[in-house]
Amino acid sequence: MAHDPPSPPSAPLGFEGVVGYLSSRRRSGAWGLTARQMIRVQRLFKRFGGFEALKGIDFHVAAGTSVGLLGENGAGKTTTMRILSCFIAPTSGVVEVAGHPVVFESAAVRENIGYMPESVPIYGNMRVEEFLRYRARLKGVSAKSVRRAVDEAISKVDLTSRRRSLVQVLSKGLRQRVGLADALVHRPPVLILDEPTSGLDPSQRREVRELIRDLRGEHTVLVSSHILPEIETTCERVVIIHRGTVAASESIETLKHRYSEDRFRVAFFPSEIDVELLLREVPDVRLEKFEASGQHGLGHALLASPDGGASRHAVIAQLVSHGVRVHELTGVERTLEEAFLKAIQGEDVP
Amino acid sequence: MTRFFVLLRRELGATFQSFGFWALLALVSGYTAFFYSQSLEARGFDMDYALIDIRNWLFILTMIITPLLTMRLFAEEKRSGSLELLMTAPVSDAQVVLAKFGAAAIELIVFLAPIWVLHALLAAFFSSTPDWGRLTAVTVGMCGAGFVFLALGTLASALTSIQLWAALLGALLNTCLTSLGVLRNLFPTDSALYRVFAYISLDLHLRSALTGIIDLRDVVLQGTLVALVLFWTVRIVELRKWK
Repeated sequence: MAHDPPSPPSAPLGFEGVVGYLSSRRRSGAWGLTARQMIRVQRLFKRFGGFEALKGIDFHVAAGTSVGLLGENGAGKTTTMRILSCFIAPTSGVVEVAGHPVVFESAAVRENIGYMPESVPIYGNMRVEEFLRYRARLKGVSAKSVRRAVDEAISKVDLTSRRRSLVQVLSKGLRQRVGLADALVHRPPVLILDEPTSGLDPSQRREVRELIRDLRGEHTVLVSSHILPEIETTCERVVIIHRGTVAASESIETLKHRYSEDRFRVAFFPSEIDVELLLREVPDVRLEKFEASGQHGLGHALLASPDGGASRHAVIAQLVSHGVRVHELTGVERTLEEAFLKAIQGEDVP
Repeated sequence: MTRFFVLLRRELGATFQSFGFWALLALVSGYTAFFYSQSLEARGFDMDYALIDIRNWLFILTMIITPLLTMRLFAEEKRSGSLELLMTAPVSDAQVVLAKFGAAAIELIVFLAPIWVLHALLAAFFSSTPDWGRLTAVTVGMCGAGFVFLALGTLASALTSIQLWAALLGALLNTCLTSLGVLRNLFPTDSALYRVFAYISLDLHLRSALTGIIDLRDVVLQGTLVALVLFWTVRIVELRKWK
């Protein structure tokens, strides 16, 4: 019979805490994660001197999915990723990757991840192929398989024509690709990518974005960014970190519905009645923009409401009952940006 | 073990591919050859006496060259940010420290090699008969002292992200350690403190090498110092995790 995993130590990991936690995990037989969770973060705290960078964050990433880590600069994204990749240790909390706790089985965690730091610090004096061979061997790829592994990684990131180039002569975009190839070269089940498109031009960004999208399914991907459209196109779920805490953790669609209002635009034929006043009278509807006469001689109004369909009907009914002829009513797509801002600010977006 | 050798190869590759290393080696080799020829001439071509001069020169050379060999080991990785990439690969901090130290040790041996070449040339072209045993003992002694300096240099490099500071700190540590032995002169020769300072004097330990003896006590002292300093270095590298 399976046991539930024991609660993680919430206090800083002192000697007794570590021993107690380890033995309770062994007793419960719950050393690994459930098969569906490749990354599990529970009550994670990180303190740098007097500054608390992470204040007890919780989230998980299911196997084969891609999750975006969103947050403003300094929110704690990079700190979280550095803890997941074992570069720094948590102050307290439980962090497990591929079933291995980052504090106690750091080597096993690092074997299971492909990590791409934000600045992609690659040795400039090495050739692309040479660098990837070195990294593959360092990550445990056998001498026999290293050539195939490097070829595969190079072709995945479309660097075949630059495989003999020195890293220092490559453009930033190409270096990002080398960084990505490095993360992929040992075929890790988990990919952790910190701002993979930062500093790239729009076409390079699109290429990297498509590449990340292609990696979904084969790998579990955790990608951080503050470029929201990028996360929207590459990830299924988002975790929003704000000032060291998780402000939201759900699918993008759910997040949009939860945090952004239903917005719709109404176009109407000019009327002698005060349409603006009529629209303001509709309950639970906020008039955001009004133009009595605009394009094609039509009046336009932008409205927002938290309860979707019912409000739309109420607006139409209000206008029609007062003899205003409605030309059309169109929905405005909910944006992740709006949802993100609302999630971190906890207030309405102007 | 494979990962250690992968790291070692990468470190050696980075050094041997740099122009600076070969330029420095050429300069040092040229000066060593010049110094040795001058010494031989001054000593009436007595190779035994010349070996004493060359041993002193090699000791100074080792003190100067080791901070230069170790300054970039960690400082450069920290400055460029590549330490993050290195430490998130499945290698232990100890493996990284040992591989970097090992590479620096091999580089030091390359710097000491010209003295063997000079002796071989003398034997081949001037029919002289160098005392290979004493030369071996001097080289081993020099390597022992050099490895201690390298360990101190590695520690210095782990403490900063600026190569120049690492080199200066390494040189300062080397000087302090060498000066410790000189402090023995402040105490009576039969006192315990004299014996303590004499024991940790790297210079005194090299004297037995000149007689062609590889003293196990020297090896133990140097080995212990290297192990201790490298242990601290590993701890310092690990510190980044817990800061």
